[in-house]
Amino acid sequence: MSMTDRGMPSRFESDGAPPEELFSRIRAAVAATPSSTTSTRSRIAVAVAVVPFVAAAVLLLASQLVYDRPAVRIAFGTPLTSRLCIVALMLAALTLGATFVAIGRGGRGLGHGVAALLLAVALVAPIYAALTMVRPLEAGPAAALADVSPWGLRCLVIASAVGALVLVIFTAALRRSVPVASRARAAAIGTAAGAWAGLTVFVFCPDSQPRHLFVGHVLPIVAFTILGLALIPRVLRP
Amino acid sequence: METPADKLGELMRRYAAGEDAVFEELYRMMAPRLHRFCCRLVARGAEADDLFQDTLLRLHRARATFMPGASVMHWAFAITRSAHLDRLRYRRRRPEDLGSVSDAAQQDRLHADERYSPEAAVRARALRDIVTAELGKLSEKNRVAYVLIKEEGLSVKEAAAVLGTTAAVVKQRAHRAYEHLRVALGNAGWKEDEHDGSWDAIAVRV
Repeated sequence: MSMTDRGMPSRFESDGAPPEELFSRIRAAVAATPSSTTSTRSRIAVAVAVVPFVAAAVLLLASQLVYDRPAVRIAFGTPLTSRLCIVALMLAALTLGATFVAIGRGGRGLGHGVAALLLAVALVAPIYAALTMVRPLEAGPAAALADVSPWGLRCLVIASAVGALVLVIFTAALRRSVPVASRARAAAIGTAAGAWAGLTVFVFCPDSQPRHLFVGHVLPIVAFTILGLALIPRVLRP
Repeated sequence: METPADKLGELMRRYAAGEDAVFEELYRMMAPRLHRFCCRLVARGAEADDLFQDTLLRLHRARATFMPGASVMHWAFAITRSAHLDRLRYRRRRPEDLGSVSDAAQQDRLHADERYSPEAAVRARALRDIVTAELGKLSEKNRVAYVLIKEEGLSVKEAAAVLGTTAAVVKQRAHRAYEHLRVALGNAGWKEDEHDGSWDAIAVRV
């Protein structure tokens, strides 16, 4: 249906409708309002480049200064098998995929569609859990003998630090750039931050106990999804 | 040949890069459609002006987030709706008396095209008044889907991107709005042409 009558155009036209005094008011307000001119593309590029270093720095600090143990699990007894490499690669791909969906601009510059965002939110934690918990990797003798926290609280602390920093970095990169589906995007950013946290603790921790893996490795992904949804939509909106 | 959309895109690209001098030209190109969209989103004229001003300020603050090559108007519509939803959220937290939904000020802002015969202009105005009143009765989601597709000429996919939902949902919302308007116009004495979808008054009831 087009709202036309015989011989009339298809739309209700507003022939320069906003009054002129409105323009003066807006021009004055705009002149008085500071705005950044650093493109979102640059901010995203910097964020993606910085995040792996931040995760590595947290891992090094935690392992050397706080827990006094090796920063990577293969130095702590986990055998370097092809299965370990495959799982690590799949987790890295999962993390990068979640990041791409969460902070990508999409074809129209309005971000990825809400279906892709919700898929990322819904699937990342279960896929991570399936890869790490269904058939846990061998812990190795050193890890089995070591005092690894049974509830995964050490991993939870490291994951929280990495996730929080990544969440802040991604939020800063996308500040005021999400006019559409800001809640879904916020949740997806939380999921991506959680995925980086999960990848970091996977590299760090050799434990294979389900309870430890669930609390210390998987739970942070869910927690950061909820945190993202609760805290950052308002910051993301223009 | 450079189309108006290309020109608008180029102006926005320059503005996003920090060239403040192009603001006025950008405003002149965007304002009519954007203001009309604001009038469709809110019930009252003064409120539409506030929303329009808020939208342009947000657009200014977020100018660096514009992606070169994307549609400026679609991006601006998305910001307008975001601003509108923020205002609705604010109002939900602080309810107040908003007065009548149909406001004469708003009616004056939306002009049916009057370049044609006086009779056609009168019919267009009558049709516009009914559509405006009936749009005000629709839910925000159905109304905005209808306005973007039927009045602003966006495709279903484009409207879905602007509204942050799927094409199927937007299609459904626009269809609900369309059905509501079709029934309302029929009740008001207007008949839809089965061939070209245009409307004609069959009785002087409006």
